[in-house]
Amino acid sequence: MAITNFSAPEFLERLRGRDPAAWEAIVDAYLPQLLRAGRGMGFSLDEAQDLAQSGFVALMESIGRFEGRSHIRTFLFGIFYNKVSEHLREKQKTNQSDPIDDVMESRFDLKGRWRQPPADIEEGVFSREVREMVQDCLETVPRAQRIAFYLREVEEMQTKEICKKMAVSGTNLGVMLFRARNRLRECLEKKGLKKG
Amino acid sequence: MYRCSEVVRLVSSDEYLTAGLLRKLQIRLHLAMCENCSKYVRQLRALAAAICKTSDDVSASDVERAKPHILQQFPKK
Repeated sequence: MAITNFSAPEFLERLRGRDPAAWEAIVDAYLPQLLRAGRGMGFSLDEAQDLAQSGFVALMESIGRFEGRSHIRTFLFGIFYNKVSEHLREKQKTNQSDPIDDVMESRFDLKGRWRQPPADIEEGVFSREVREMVQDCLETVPRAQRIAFYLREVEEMQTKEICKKMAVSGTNLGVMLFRARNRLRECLEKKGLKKG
Repeated sequence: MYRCSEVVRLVSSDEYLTAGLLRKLQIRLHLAMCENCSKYVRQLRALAAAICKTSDDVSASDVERAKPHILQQFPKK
């Protein structure tokens, strides 16, 4: 396949003219990334596909307004994350109590000192075994927390941007990140202990 | 000085990032002196790195399967 400069005005023209080859090139370039992002945020493959699909459709609908000032990947991912947060808003209730808060509280005494210090966990990132453990533990993290965590750690978005995307306050986002990170760590610690 | 429980909360909620210079310094000082807290923070970092490596589990055949569904959405010329 020919290498295409997606930012070239001629290419945008082809997209606007609904040239099938141009659209296929866009799909080839970004579908894998969108599916990966969807999976990373805890959606099933089918759900990830639906989200990617509505992202591409929305891109087609709005390509007339796209002026090429940002990269088309940025534009597409912006649309995609909007779809994700729409999906989320339908079912989410954030600030309820969460068992992980009690777990964390029990780790410290009344003076805030460690009562149960952190056990060693496997810190080798590249071992396949650890990655599988992490994958298992990810499944235990509620959807909204997982999305916040993904946007922060993998997409490396600024917290302000995540708040906007997910329509949550800064405090709420802090609570979600706190819960996601500590839940994952707890889960890994437990798995590590079981093995040892 | 910060307590261990506060340090853990500030770091794992990212509140640390928006703290003022003085508070940041106090937190770093605590981490430098407290073995458990620094271990904890190191583990959270390792976790973040592992996550970035984990989100690669979409295979080429998954993509191939999804592609026709998407192309179908685009109007034919």
